[in-house]
Amino acid sequence: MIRDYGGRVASVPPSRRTRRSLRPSSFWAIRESTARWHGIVLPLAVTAVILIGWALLSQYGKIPAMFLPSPTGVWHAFQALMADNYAADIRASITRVAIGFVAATICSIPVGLLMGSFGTVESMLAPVVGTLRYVPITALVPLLILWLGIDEAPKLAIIVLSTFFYNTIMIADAVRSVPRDFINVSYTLGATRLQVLRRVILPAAMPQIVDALRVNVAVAWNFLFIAELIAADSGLGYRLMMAQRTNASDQMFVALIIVAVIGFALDQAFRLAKKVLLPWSA
Amino acid sequence: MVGVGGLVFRDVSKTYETPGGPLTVLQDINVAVAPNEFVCMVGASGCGKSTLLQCAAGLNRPSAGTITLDGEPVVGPSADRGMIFQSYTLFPWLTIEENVGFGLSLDGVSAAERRETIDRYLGVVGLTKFAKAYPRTLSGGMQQRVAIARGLANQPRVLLMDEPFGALDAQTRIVMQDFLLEIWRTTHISILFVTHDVEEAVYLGERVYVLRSNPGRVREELRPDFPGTRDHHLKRTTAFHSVVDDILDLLREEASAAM
Repeated sequence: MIRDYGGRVASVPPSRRTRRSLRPSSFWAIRESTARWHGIVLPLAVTAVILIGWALLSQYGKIPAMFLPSPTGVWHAFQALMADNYAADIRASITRVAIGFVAATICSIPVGLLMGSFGTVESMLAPVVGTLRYVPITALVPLLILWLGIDEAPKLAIIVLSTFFYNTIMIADAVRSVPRDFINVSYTLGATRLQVLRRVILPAAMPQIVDALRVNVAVAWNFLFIAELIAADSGLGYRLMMAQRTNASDQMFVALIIVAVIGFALDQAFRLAKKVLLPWSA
Repeated sequence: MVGVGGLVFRDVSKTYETPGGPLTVLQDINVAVAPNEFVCMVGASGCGKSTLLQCAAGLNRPSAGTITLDGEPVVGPSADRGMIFQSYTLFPWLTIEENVGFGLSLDGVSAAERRETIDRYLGVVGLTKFAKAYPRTLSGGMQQRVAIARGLANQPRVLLMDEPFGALDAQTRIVMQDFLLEIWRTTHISILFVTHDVEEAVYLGERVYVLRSNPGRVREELRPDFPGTRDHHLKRTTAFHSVVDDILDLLREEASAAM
């Protein structure tokens, strides 16, 4: 039933141009969720294409094996290296990144929290953090060696310094994006400033903090190599240097692939941790 | 000051320093909310009504004048003056019951007592079965009901409400108005409710202050007196509409003057 109130609408003449409708597409859907199999099949397909392309290029490309080893050559190099206690070097590298990154994170969370919360702290730290982040960490290497020697300490220092500033700045940003009304409502519920920091700002900023850590662990992982190229007697960076001395490109490929795989695993671990520990943030 | 109960604004003004010179947002506001009273404040955007409420909450400070609650001057925010915001302010990392108990947990109230209060107020807002849910699984109207429960569970002396239903759709809004009246009848808490919706103000308030803008001042104070209990039938009566029309006339006068 139409209830007619007797209104009259001025008619709008339809356009005489012919117009096409947008055709539905699942592959070219812009910013829509795609089919589930896309997320599984497409990455595998791309990986396969790269591997096959690499194999064909090394087999038929007339590129000397010294420049481009074959996939099987790299596999054999990997097995040879593993027989030569390569696992200890992988462990050494992971340990350095873990210690350095955890130390940087433990320092940067309170500093970032204070910087993002208090304008006064921000004003005090801005000249330090704002300028030091533009100093290339590599430029600090001579000083670090002078101060800390050539043992573990300067290597850890490079990783700590490279991540601390980025972590702090990104955590401060995460804190600044906590809605003001969250803070205001807490005050009207009787919260003290300390309670607002600990029980409102920190948990509210947590998802963004975890994202910042995920991005910055990649930075730490990058700087590990600078640290290990200085003066190391263990680690993936050290092995890479050794491979360079003998032009063993197959060994270099092994190191690079392992680095990439560990980096990917770290990224996934952070995503998983966020899903498990902060289920509300999805 | 003894004997002056409720929330009282005396000659409250608020001026901001801007690059273009001082900007007066509120001028000589004299307003009161008696204990157990439901007072509404209506005005166009920019009349400073939110600023006024923030001053009462202690989140903002007046440039001149005083605000007192039961005779004590307001110096900063406190659990005595609860506030409900237009935006959704439930903490997404806490469950519904943890949100409702948040204020109590700040105060170190024992778990058993907290439990009892949470259950009572979740019952009051009719959301007991959502106790363990997270806010994002609730609709906007439900979230605002939880926010009200969280405010009430803290047992404030006055509840300040800043357009709490402003983000809700029209239908939910109507339901929430009746819900709020019901809460007020059962708890008889003092409420200062700010809105730009004239019908909402007339429907809810025992008294209604009409504010004018630039700078914000009290233009008129009305005491709509409708027989019987307020329910949605009231909105169809001539008595109701004559009050609404009076206020709309006041606001229109000003709006056309401003254009």
